[in-house]
Amino acid sequence: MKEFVEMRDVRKIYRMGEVEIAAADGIDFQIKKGEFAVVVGPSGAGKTTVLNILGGMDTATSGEVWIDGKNIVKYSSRQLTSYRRDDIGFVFQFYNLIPNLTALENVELALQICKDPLDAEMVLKEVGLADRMKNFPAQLSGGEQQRVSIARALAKNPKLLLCDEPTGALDYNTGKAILKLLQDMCRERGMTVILITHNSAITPMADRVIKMKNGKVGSMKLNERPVPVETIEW
Amino acid sequence: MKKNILRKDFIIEIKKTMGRFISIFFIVALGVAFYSGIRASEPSMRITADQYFDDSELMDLKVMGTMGLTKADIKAIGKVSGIEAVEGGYSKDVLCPVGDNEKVVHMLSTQKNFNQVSVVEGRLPEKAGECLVDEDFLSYTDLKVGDTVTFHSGDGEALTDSLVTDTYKIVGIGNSPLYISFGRGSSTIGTGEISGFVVVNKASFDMDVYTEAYVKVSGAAEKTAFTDEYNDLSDAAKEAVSAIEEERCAIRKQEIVDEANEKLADSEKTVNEKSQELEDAKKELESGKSKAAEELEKAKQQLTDGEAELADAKQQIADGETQLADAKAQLNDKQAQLDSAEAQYESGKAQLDQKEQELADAEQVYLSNYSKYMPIITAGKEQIAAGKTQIADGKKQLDEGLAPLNQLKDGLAEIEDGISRCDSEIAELNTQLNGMDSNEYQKYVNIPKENRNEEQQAYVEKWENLNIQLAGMQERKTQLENTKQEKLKQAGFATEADLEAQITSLTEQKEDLDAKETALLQQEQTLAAQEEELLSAGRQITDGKSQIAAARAQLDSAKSQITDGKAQIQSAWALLNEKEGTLNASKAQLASGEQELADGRSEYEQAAKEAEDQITDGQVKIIDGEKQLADAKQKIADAKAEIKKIENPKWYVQTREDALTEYQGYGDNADRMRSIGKVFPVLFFLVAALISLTTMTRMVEEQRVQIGTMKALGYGKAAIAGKYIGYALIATLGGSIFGVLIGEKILPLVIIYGYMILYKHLPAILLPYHMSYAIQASVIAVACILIATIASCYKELAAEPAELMRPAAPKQGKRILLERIGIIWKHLNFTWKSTVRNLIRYKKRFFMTIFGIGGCMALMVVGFGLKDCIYEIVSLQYEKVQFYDAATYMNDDISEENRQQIQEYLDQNADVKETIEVHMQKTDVKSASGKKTLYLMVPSDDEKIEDFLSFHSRTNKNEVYSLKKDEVILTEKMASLLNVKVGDQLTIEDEDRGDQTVTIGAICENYMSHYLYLSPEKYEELYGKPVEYNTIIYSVKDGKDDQIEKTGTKLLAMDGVLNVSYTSSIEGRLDDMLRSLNLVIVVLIVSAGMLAFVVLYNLNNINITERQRELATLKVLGFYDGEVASYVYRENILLTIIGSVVGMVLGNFLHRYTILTVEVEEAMFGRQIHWQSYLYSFLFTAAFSLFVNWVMFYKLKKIDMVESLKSVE
Repeated sequence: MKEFVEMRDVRKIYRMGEVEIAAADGIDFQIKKGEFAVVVGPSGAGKTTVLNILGGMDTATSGEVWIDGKNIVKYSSRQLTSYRRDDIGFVFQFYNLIPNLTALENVELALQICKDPLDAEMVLKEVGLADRMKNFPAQLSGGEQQRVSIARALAKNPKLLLCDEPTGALDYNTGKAILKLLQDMCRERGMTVILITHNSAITPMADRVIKMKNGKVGSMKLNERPVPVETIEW
Repeated sequence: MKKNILRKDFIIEIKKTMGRFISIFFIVALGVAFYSGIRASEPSMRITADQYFDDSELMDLKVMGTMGLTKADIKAIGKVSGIEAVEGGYSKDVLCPVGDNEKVVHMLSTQKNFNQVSVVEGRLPEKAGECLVDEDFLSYTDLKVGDTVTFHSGDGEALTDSLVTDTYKIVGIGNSPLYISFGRGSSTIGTGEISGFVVVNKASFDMDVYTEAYVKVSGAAEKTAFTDEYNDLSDAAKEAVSAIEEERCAIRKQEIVDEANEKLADSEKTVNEKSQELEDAKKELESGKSKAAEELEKAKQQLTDGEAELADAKQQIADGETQLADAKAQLNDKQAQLDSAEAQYESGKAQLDQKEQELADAEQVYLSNYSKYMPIITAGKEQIAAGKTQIADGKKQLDEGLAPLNQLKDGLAEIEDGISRCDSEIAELNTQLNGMDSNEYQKYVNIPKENRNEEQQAYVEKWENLNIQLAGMQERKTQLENTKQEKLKQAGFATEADLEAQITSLTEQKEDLDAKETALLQQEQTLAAQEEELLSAGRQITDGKSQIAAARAQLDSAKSQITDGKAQIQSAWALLNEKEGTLNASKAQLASGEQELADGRSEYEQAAKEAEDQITDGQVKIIDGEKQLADAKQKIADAKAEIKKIENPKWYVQTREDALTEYQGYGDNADRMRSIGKVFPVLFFLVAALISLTTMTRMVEEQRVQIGTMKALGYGKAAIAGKYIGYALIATLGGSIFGVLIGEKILPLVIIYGYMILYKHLPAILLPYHMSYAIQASVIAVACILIATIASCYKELAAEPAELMRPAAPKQGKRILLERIGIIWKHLNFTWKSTVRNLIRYKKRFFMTIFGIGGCMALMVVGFGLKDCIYEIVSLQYEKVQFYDAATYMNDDISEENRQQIQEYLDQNADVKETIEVHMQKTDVKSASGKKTLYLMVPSDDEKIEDFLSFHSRTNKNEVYSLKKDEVILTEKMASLLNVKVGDQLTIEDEDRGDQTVTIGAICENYMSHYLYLSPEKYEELYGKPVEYNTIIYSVKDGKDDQIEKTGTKLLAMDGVLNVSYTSSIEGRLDDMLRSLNLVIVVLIVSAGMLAFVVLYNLNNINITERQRELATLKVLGFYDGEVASYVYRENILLTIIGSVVGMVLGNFLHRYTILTVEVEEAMFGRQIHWQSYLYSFLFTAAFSLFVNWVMFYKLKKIDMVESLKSVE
């Protein structure tokens, strides 16, 4: 199978006066299309940096980032915007919904700018929000808001779904439900999902687990038999 | 240590939020600067002027006496309490020639301690005959320092009555504190308008008393001019001086009366003397008259005689001349005849000579011919005679030969005849026989004789007879023929033919001879003729000779005759010339006689005229003398009456306001600034305060987490709030101080500088800090913002730390009213929906922005609106309301003749289009609301006046009024001042007839001055007398505007014309005055614009900071920079538009209020803001908004997604 996502010796160096801090210090990994990948590691290991670079929100200082056969490191700011617009779906820890648009409108907001969107209402139904569509974010619980956020990301029909600690602000059960939703989406739609977490307990559900440590990939292993979320306890 | 950390945090906070800090700083600075600056303009204006007045020792009071002020008066004034100093002075209005015109100038004396003139060039006058001239006045004349000016009197009295000299050398140019602007006041001479002033030394005046006294009031210099303190002080001093008026005037009166009586006595004496002189003169005149008449009569007689003589002589000369002319004509005639005769004689003589010559020639020829031809002729004659004889012999011979032949022939012819007779007989007989038949004869002959009948018998007989006859005949014939033959033989001829030939030849010979004879005769004849010819030639010559001899004799006698004639004519001419000479001499005599006579006549006439003139002169002189005498007597009588009538002289005690033309105007302008200062800065300040308040509130709200943390850490409320209060305090206090420092210097400077156009002689602009305004503004600014900060800190601090540390519950998205209107809502896309919801959600920000933008917009609208309303009054007044071009004011006592002349001049002037007479007078009117002064204007023609003025409503231009017989039209501003409306009663005050009430028929648009328009009928009804028109207003034809002054100058030169005023120059002056407001308005607009910019920037800044997360999300979702920006801009644009609309409405109300506040009583400003002004204001606001948005674009671009979304702060 062709490598769908590949990072080659990606470095991200922040310059703080005299000191150079390498947030990513030569990262190499590959992810195949349709995989559910989990990037795990302690705080400061460079997970978010990886995600930001993958998502086109940040640029690598050096190295190559190949997404579906294109190296986005060379992209200009505008190209990156187009890339985010058409190829990437984001799910944040803090949902980042537009507060004065309803759930449906928040989804539709993302759809109005992309090329080949899915139907907003359908996606919302899929994430289980059929009857909360007309509510404003403030009227929804955290889990529901995260569902809207996922729906917003999915509805864009992206090549790659990036999730940054999607359960970080949620309680255990809600978190589980969200993870299940993501896993289902991956399985049912064959979407490539990269999920970042510091919680290594959820690694068994992933097809591929990438462990980060000090800005480098510590280890990468493939799960022959990923387990459903429900069976995982932490 | 703890404090240090907090301080550090505080400093870092300021550094981090420099934009916010600066924007609060500047908003406050702007607000304070504007507030204190505009307000400080008014006192600064006053102080600037006051300093000038104090420095130049401008008088506080001016006292003028109708009969002057004596030294004693001056002393008395000085003793009045509250008076610091007093000085007498002189002044006089004189005419100064400028080009072709004469301008009125006010001549004043230099004062030792008052009204110091500032010298621009040259020096002050130091002695009589030197002067210093007004700088402004000089600028439009050709005069310069060193020139000499001769002034003229404007009132008929010689200038030297009151001045030492009328010619002055200009030694300097300068300005006087008495005249701070262009106006120089009015005068009773010339055009009535003073154009400038001239300062001369007191020594130049030759007056017994001072014309005025200048007074300095104790303590007034310490007070600021134009303030109530100053006014109170000077009013009090005025009262005090007025208190001694009565006493002083009584003394002055007595002086004058005494003086007058003395003069009167002198005059009476003089009159009596003159009266006696006059009587003497009369007598002298009478005697002179009769003597002159006598002499003249004599001279006249002499002249008549001389004339008769001369006429006779003339006649004689004329006769002589006629005779002479006749004689000359005759003589000339004769001469002509003689000349022709002589000519004839000459030609005759010539002919004669020629003939003689010819004759001599002919004689010569004849003589030669004679000798040549005569012998020939004689010989010829002899030949001819011989020939003749020969011929005669020949003939005789021939005749002899012929005669026998002819006899023979004749015999032969007789025989021939007989033969031929026989032949004819024979023929006849044959014919008869041929008629008879021989057969018959035979038959008959055979018949015996007896048997024959008669007939037969006859027949036979006849036949037989005939035959016998025939036979006989034939026989005869033969006989004859024989004879003939015989004869011939006898003569020797064979035949008749030979005979014939013989005869013929003979005849021929004969004929030949005849021919010869004829030729000979002919020759003979010719010869005879030739001979004759020759002889006749000889005769002719002889004749010719005798003729010539006779002619010569004739000629000679003619010649002697001619010579005689010539001699006669010569003698005749000599005689004639002699006569002519005599005649000419006579003529010359005659001419000299005539000249003498003419001389005599003119001498006589001159003498007569002289005599008459002398007499008339004498008479006139006597009449004049009598009249003078009568006048003098009358004068004496008048003077006596006058002396009795002499009223107490009056004093006019004037404060600066009363005495100085432009003084009050300056005060008014300062007041106007105060009015502007009341409205504008407040609003400006309000906007500024509100904006910084919002900003501070926002800041506190943003930092709730930090507040919570600090609180949780156990810091006290004061310590926590201190940071924000300190932040606000430093920003506002700094801004305030900066604002005061800058604002109170720059704004008043700019504004006073603007007014310097009008008051250009103010030497220096003084801009002291006005602490009251500075403190007012600063305290309000600081207090407002501190209170707001404390309030929001208090709100936050009241909450539990735990709550504070949680992110603030985001404001709930809410369904808004618009969503209920499905049609609109469904058509909005999400960004629009979000925008609309956003606007509604942050109500505070919404209103702040609307108010901020609206306020700035309103300020600009007012600024532009003021410009519109103030500027347009000039064009409105002089183009829409009073559109005539000039007005001519006439003396009240102008004679009817002069009035006609003026009217005629205008009617005939090609440049003048139309004229109308009007009556203008200043009148007091009153209503329930008070008493005001206005101009009463009565046009001579109710309809024609509409070509010069328009009576119409301001609000509805189509509503046009006309002057009615029983109603009056009042101008709008006056109506509002008097608080009256159409249909109300108005009372006109009149000294003679008391109060009169009129009904207001209409209220018309008008901007400058106040007018009450009356019809002539109504005037007559009110005043009980017909209107006396004292003004002619006129308009010139299109394109002749440049001719208007020419017409005006001519008019001014006419008797009875007081003044001519041109609409264009009034317009120009007004424009100048209003232009000074321009800068003020620019200041307003620029400040408002700056405020608009700061407000928009600040609000946008808040907006973006507040929603950074939201915007970052959009970026992550893949919104391009432009799309993100437009998401924000949409709100800004909407807010700008809404704010502008609000600003327009707000501006409109504010403008109305401002206009009413700023307006002066004498004028009405426009009320309408032009739509362009709204447009400009909007465009400015929009431009600022766009600029701010442009700046914001980069700020938006810089939003870091990673940082913004990292966590909830």
